[in-house]
Amino acid sequence: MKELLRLPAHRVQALIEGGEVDARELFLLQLRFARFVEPEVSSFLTLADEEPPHASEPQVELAALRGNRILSQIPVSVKDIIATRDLATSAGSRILSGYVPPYDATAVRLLKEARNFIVGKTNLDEFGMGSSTEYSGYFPTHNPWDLSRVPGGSSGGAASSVAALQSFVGLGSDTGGSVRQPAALCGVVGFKPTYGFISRYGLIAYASSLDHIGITAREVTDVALMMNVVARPDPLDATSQAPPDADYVAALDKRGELKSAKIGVVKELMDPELMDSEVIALCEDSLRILGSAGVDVVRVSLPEVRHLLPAYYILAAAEASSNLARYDGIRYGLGFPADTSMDLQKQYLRVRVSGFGEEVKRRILLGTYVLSAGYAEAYYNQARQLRRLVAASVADLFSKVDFLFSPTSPFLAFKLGERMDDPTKMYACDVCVVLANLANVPAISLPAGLSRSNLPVGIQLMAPSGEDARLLAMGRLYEEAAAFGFRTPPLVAKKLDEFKA
Amino acid sequence: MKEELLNHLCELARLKLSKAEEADFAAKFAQVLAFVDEIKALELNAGSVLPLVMKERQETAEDVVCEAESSPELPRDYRVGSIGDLEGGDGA
Repeated sequence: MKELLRLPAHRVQALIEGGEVDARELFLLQLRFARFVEPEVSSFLTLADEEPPHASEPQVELAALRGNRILSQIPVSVKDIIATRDLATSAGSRILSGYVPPYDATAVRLLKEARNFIVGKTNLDEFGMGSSTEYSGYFPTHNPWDLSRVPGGSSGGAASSVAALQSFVGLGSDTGGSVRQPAALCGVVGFKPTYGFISRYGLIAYASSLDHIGITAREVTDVALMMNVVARPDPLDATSQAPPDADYVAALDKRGELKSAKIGVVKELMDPELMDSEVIALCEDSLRILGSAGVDVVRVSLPEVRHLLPAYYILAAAEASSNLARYDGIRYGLGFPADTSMDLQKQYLRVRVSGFGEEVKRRILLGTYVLSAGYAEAYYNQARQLRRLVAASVADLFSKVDFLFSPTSPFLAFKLGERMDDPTKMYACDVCVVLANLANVPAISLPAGLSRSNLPVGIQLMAPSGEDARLLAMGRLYEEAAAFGFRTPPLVAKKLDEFKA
Repeated sequence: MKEELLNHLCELARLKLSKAEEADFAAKFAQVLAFVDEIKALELNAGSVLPLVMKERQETAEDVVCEAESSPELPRDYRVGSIGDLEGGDGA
């Protein structure tokens, strides 16, 4: 039975629905294997108890949730920045240590209503601020393909948990590529929908205009099944705009119609000076695969790309400095015994100084700086203006092509500690992925093969805003044409052999 | 990065750096500022895109740290009355 853990979620679900596998037994098997591998990869901040905490909750009939095919009865992981009523939620920060939310995020509630099982809460860079999971307030996560390397970030725990067979699907968050970049480095699929398609209610805010809940999975079909559960209109999120009747699984069947589609390769994001040569080589292979499937591949230019990272880091930091002002130790998480000799300001300071990590402090200070008198015009308003220009340029490109193409990460997974001495070296990891957040378009990272050193590489496809279903169909078309399939990292395969179910 | 500016930002953001971490933090923060600095020099044609929400030049006040007033006279067992009490209802 343990070999089931290697399968994509949709195949396991078919076995459950056919009565060949018991969902509860599968959950227990999943949980025990997750614990068995955990000392090596450190994907989780919290693992669930053996009795699923929501097992006794009333379940809605699947048909009542949505008439379409949905992800159901599958062990899933949830990034620790998404609120879960029954499991601690720290956002990877010491300042929220021990905090157990009194409610579920909408996406979590929907997952539970569809009878899925939560394996645990995955590790992340504190508040989603990082690209390697090394900025977690607790411990770093390791890449299952090479334990001396990072899994990417900030949803590094989600990606490593799916790659290391610790969960079939992961719910993550993507503010500037945080689902897609780790998916690429761990050899799995990572999807960021259009802004507002998955409710942000219960997602701990980092930069609200850029924050998305996203999905990590082994195959595109699993992403579509998950979208059919969680992409729903939500009155609790004022920015929610999911189409109520979309069927992302049914859309995959229309992939044949996309063989005449046109894909634009963003040439500035295939620059050999910015990218590893092996990444470019595997991306070119992927373009040949798409071409042989009948897709028309053309080169397009987006000159604004070279300014995207500064604009992104200004906007995200500005929003973070405001969003994180709420953490004062009074209402949430970390607190100290009352000290009557201290006034309230000093008590706030004590909690914030000891609770926030270095990178979070840096971004709060950057945000404070770019919003302060005399600087807001030069930094914040310039960045906002650039964001609008980029969105207009991307919309213009989409009048000429159906999809945009780039690598997901410019680099292969790097060694732990390698980019910690200079924060801007870490920021450079996001050069390909921030575009979709700034332009508010859906994007997906798909496995493109392995480097000579046996490390995964990912390609990124983007579609016009709202065309998430078409993007998933194109992703499935590529997946089929490439015929890579999900591959188990050798170390994990060895652990599975040793594991006594 | 000038020490006074960093200290002022820390005050505004309700943060504080220890003497030990100050030098390293200032150096890395300077790297970040240099990284985002290029955006200042860009000549962006705002006419070609939708207007900014803050279309007119933004008037910002000088940033100052506000000290909260402490209320030592407030008794420890003080509690705010419920809406029911205030409105003369039963609070249900």
